[in-house]
Amino acid sequence: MSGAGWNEVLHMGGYGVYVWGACLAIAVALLAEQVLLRWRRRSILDHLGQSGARTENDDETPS
Amino acid sequence: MDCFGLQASFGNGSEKVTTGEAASQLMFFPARIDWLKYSTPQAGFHLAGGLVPWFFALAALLFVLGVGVGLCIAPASERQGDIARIVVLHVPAAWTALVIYLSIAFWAVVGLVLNTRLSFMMGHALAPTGALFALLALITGALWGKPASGSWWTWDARLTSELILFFLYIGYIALHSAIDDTRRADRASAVLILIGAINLPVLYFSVLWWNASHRGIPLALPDVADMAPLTIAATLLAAAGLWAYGVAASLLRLRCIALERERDADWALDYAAGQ
Repeated sequence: MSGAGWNEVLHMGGYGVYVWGACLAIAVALLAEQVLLRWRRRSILDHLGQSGARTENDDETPS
Repeated sequence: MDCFGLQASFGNGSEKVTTGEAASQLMFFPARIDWLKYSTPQAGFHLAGGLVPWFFALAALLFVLGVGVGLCIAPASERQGDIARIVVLHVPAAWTALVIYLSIAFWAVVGLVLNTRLSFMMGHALAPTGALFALLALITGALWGKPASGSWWTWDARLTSELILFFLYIGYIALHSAIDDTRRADRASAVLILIGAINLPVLYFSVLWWNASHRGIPLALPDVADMAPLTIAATLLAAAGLWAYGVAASLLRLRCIALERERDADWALDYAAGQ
């Protein structure tokens, strides 16, 4: 596609802000969801790691 | 497996009488056995882990292809011009919000009937993604409505029922987190999602029932006639992409929920230790 063609696609007949804004909204929302999911996974894994370590220490404690 | 007595009858070859019965059960209800195999949180956790990358790859491929064709290649709408290209973003988001709600209702029925923990977890793994797509449908709809009809929002049947869909998702999530007993929370929120399902036909058929054109935006099939075939194809591709994304995100969340709820189980501790 030529340079003028790209400008046309970006301009969207004057509606570029709306169309690309909608595109951006979806991209930002999905990326944010993935970041939140990653944090949630990290947090539960850290929690499990700590309680796992505690259990091992408990096992080693002489009764 | 052993809850149907299959393991006992197959495990011991000397039990001639029950083996025949079990074999006929196997022949007629093979699906039943597979379902049970995957209905524990641990099995679901590992199955989901294997599926996630495939669904993400499928989602990226289909969505980028659909949006690329819809925004850059397909012809502009004769009636609305280039603004109507937003259809390849708005309609897939709205469909995904609808389909995710249907999926949650399905898992709510399965959970209430079979009392399987994983079914309720599936519902709650899907809900935040569904709420997000309902919100995106409202946002992209507003971005279409403003230039096309002059207003960000009107209280017509389609917009209002989409807003109710968003609130139902929020209510489902909020009700679950308000009840401390997880199993009771699962059941209460499953009942709420089934009562809220009355909104789905209203949402889907609102364009026909109230004879409103929804500002020319198609969702019900009769309206598709207004769109260029290439735009329809692009919309379907983008929708398939967002559905695949919804599956991938929900399976990732399912893995988090399974770990959170089974935090005392050995398999969860073993998995965390390996990470």
